Amino acid sequence: MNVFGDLLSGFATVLQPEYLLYAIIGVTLGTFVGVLPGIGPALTIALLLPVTFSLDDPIGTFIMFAGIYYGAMYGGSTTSILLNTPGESASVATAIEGYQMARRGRAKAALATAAIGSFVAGTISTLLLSLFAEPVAKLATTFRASDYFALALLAMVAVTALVGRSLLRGLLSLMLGLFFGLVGIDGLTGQARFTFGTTELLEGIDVVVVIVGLFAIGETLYVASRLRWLPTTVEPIQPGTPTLSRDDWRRSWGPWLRGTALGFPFGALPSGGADVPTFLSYTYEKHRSKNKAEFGKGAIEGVAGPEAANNAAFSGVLVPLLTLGIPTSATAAVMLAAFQIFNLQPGPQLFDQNAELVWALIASLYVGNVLLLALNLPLIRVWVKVLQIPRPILYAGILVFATLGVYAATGSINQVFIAYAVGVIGFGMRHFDFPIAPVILGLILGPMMEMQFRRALLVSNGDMTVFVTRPLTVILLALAVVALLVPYLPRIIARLRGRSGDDAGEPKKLVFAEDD
Amino acid sequence: MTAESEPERGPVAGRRSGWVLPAALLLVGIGLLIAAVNAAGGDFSPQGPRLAPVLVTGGWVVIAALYLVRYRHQNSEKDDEEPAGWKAPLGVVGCLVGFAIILEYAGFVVSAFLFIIAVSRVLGSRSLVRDVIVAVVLPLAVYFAFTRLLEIFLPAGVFPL
Amino acid sequence: MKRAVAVAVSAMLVSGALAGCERDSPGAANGSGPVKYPTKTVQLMVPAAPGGGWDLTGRTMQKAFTDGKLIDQSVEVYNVTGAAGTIGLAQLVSKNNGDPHHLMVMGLVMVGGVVSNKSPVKLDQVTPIATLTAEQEVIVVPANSKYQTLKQLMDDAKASPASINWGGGSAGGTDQILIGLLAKAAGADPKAMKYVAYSGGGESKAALLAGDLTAAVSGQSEFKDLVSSGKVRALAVSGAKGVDVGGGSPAKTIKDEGYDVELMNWRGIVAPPGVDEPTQQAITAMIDKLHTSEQWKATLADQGWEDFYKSGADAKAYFTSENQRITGVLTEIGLGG
Repeated sequence: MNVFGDLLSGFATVLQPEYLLYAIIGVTLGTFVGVLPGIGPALTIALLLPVTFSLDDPIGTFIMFAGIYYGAMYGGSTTSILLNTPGESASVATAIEGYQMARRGRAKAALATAAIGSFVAGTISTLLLSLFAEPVAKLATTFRASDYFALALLAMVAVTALVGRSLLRGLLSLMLGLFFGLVGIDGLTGQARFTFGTTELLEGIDVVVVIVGLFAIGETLYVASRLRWLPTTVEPIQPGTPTLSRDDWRRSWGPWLRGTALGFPFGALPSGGADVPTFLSYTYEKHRSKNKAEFGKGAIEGVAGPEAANNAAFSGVLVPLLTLGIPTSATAAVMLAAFQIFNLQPGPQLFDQNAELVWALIASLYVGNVLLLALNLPLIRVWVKVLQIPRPILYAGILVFATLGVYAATGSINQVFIAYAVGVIGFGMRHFDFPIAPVILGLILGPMMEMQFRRALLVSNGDMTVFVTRPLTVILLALAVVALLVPYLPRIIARLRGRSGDDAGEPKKLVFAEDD
Repeated sequence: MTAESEPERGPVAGRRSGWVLPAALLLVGIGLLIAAVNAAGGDFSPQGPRLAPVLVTGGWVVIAALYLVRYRHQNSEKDDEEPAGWKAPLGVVGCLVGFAIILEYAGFVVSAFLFIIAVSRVLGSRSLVRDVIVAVVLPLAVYFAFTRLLEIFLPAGVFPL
Repeated sequence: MKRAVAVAVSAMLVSGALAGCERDSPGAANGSGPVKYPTKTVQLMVPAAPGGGWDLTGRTMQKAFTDGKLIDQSVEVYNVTGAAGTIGLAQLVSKNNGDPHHLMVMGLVMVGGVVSNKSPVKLDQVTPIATLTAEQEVIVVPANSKYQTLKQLMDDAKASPASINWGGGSAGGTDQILIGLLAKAAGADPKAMKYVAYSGGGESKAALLAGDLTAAVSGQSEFKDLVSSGKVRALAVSGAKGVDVGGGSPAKTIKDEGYDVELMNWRGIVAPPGVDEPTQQAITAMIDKLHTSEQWKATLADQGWEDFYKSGADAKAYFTSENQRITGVLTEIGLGG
C-alpha cells in the first residue's frame, strides 16, 4: 500500500500546472522531433541537457524528458506508418505492416492502434515499474556475458519471420546487416575492421545512418524509379470510415498486451532497449495470427504489437536506471548524465533519498501517456493530411530532413555521403525484392552476439564450456534451438512417422523455399 | 481507388535481374572474404576480433553462391513487372550529392532551397511557383527551429542570419 | 596548483591590461600590437556525441561565456561524433587549419584514441591552449570480493594475471590506461592484464554485479551510489589526493597503496594548427578569463569537476608529457602502433 501512497504524492506533484506544462512541452517537442528521421529521443534529450542547467528544477526536467521520449517514439511511428521512413530502430518493425496499411487507405487505423497501443502499454508497464522495480532490477544483474550471447542468439533465431518470402534473399540481407555491424573499431581490442584505411569508417556505420539511408532515401529513390506509374499524391484516405473498427479493436487487444509483456523485461536488460522486443513482437504476432496471409499486406496486429513493445520498453529501461544507475539504452545513458548534473546518483538509495523525485517521475509517465493519447488521437486527422502533399514536394522534404538528421546527429558531411550510399543499396534491395528489415536486425544483434560471445570467452579464459555450464545460458540456447526447429517441426514429425511420399525433393525445398 | 490500381511489388519483381545480380553479390562477397582473411593474418581465435568477419563474409559467399545456383536451376522468368525508370533515381542521387557538397559552403538555407527546386523537378513537379514557395519557407523554418530551439548548428554559409 | 592559479591570475591581469590598451588605441590591432580576438563567432567543436563529458564541457563553456558576457562574440557548439574524438581531430586539422575561431574540446581519452586507433592525424599537430577540468578514476570490486586492498588485488594480478577480469570503458580509454600504468608500477606485465571493454559505465556496472568481472575501473562519480549502499567496495582512486567516492570519507589513492601512479581524466581545449603566436596568446587569454569567471566556478561546483587548469606553456608541456606517457603504456599493452 505504501507504493500507492508514494505514487499518489507523485501525482500530487506532477499535477501542478507548472509540471503539467513541462509534460505538455515534452510530449509536443518529442512528437515533432520523432517525426524527423535520424533525430531520436536520445539526441533531443542530450541537446536539451544544457538548457536544463538553467531550469534548475530536476523534477520538471525529468518530467519533460519522459514526455520527449514517449512523444518521439510516437512521432517515429507516425512517419514509419505514413511514409515508410522510420527514424530509428524501434520503429522499423512498425513500418513493415504500418506502411502497407497506409498504402491500402488504412493509415488512420494504423495510427490509432499505435497511439492506443502505446497508451495501454505505457500505462501497464508504468504500473509494473511502480510495483516491481526491485525484483526486476535483479534481472539486470543476473545476466552474464554467456547469457547475453544466448539471448541474442535466441532473438536472432526467433525473428527469422522477418526474412520474408525468399529465404536466400532474406539471408543475404541479414549478411549485409551483419557486415555493416562489423565495420569500425572492434570494441574489445580497438582494432579496425573493414575501414579500408579511412578515418571516417573507424566509428562504424551508425544504425541511424543505415536506417535513414535504407528507408528514407532508399524509398524515395524507389518511388522515383516508378514515378510514371504512380498518382501525383501518395494516398487518398477512405472518407467516412471510423478510425478503429470493432474488428480492429478485437484484433489489437492481444498484441497490445503481449507487446507489453515482451517490451518491459527486455527494456530492463543491459544492451536491451526497445528494438529487439519490437521485432520479437512482430514475429510472434505473425506466427499466432489467424490472418497470416494478411501479414506483409497490412495486418493491424503487426502494428499494434511492436508499438506496445517499444513503449513498454521505456518503463523497463527505467528500472535498472533508477535502482542501480545502470543505463540500458542510449536515452537512459543521457538521462543518467542529467541525474548527475543535478547531483543525483541513481542507485539503491535514490528511492529513499529522493523519493519525491522518483515518484514524480513515475507519475509523470502516466501523465505523459494520457497527454500523448489526448494529443495524438485528434492529431491523426492532421497527420494523414501529409499524404495529400503532392509527391514531388513530399519526397523533396523527406530528403531534406533525412540529410539534416544524419548531419545533425553526426556533424559530418561524410556520414551524409555514407547514408546516401546506403540509400542506393536500399533502392537496389527494393528493386530486386530483398527484404529490408533483416539488415537492421543483423546490424543490431550481430555486434551484440559477437561482443558477448568474446567477452564470455575472455572472462572464462577461453573455456568453451562456459556456454553449457550456466543454467540460464543453457535454457536460452535450448530455446533458440527449439525456435529454429519450430517452423520445420510438422514436416520433421511427418517424416519420422511415415516417410510418406513427398520427401524426395523435400530438403531442397526447405532450404530454397520461395514462398512460405 | 488508386490504392487498388497501384502496381504490386510482388514476389516476382526482381527475377528479371538475371544472373548478373547473384554473380555480382558473389564477387563482392569473395572480395570481402579475401579482405577479412588477409586482415586476420592467420589469427582466427574465437576470442579475437578476426573470426567474426571471416564467418560473416564466408556466410555471404555461400549464400550468394546458392542464390546463383538457384537462379540457374529455375528460369521461370515472368515479365509482368512494370519497367523501372532509371533517369529519375539517378537525378535524385545527383541532386543529393550536389546538396551535400554545397551544404557546408553555401549554408543550409541556400543549398536546401536549390535542392528542393531541383529535386522536385526530377520528381516530376510542374508547378514552379509552389515549389519555390516551399523551397523558401521550409528551409528557413527548419533553420530557425534547429538553431534557436534545439541548438543544433547548421551551416549558415553565405546567407547572413 | 598554486602555480596554475598564479599563472591564471597574471594572465588575467595581462589580458585585462591588453584589453585596456586596445581601448585606448584603436589602431593597435592592425599594427604589431596585441591581436583582437575573437572578431567573429567562436565555433567550439565537441568531437563526441551530445550528452557525454566533452559535450558537457563544451556546452557549459558556451554557457559561461554567454551568461558572464565574457566576450562580445557568440559561441556556437557543434558535435562531430566518432572514434574517441579522432574524427573530429582530423576535421580540425584538415578543414579548420589556421582558423583561430575554431576551437576543440578534447582530453586524455583523445590522447589514447590517437594511439589505439592509429589515427593518421596526431595530437602534436594541433595547438594546445589549456586544460580545464579533470576527474579521478576509481577501482572497485564487488562487496563480496576477497580483495580488501589494492595491494592484494595487484599481488594476484602479478602472480596469475588470468585470474583477474578487469572491466571498464572502451579499449585504449582512460580505464584501460590506468590498469596498464598500475600493472607496470606493480611489476606485472601490462600486456597480460585481461581487460574486458564495455561501452559506457552501465554495462560494466552490470557485469561487475553479475559476477563477470573481478574489478572495474571507472570515473570516480560513476559508482558513488553503489559504494555508499555497500554493493561495491572502492579500493583506490587515481588522483593526487583522495576524494570521497561514496564511502563517506576520502578514498585512498593509488599512491597511498604504494604504487607510483597518478592519472587524471582531464579535459582541455585546443586550437587548429597554423595559428600564430600572438593569436594563441589571445585565445589563451580568453580561456583564462573564462577560468577565473564566477560562472565557471559555479559550473565546477555544480558538476563536481575538479579544477585542473594549466594554460600557455604549462599546457604545452603537460600535453607533451601526457602524450609520451600514454603512448608508452598503450604500446606496452599492445594497442599502440
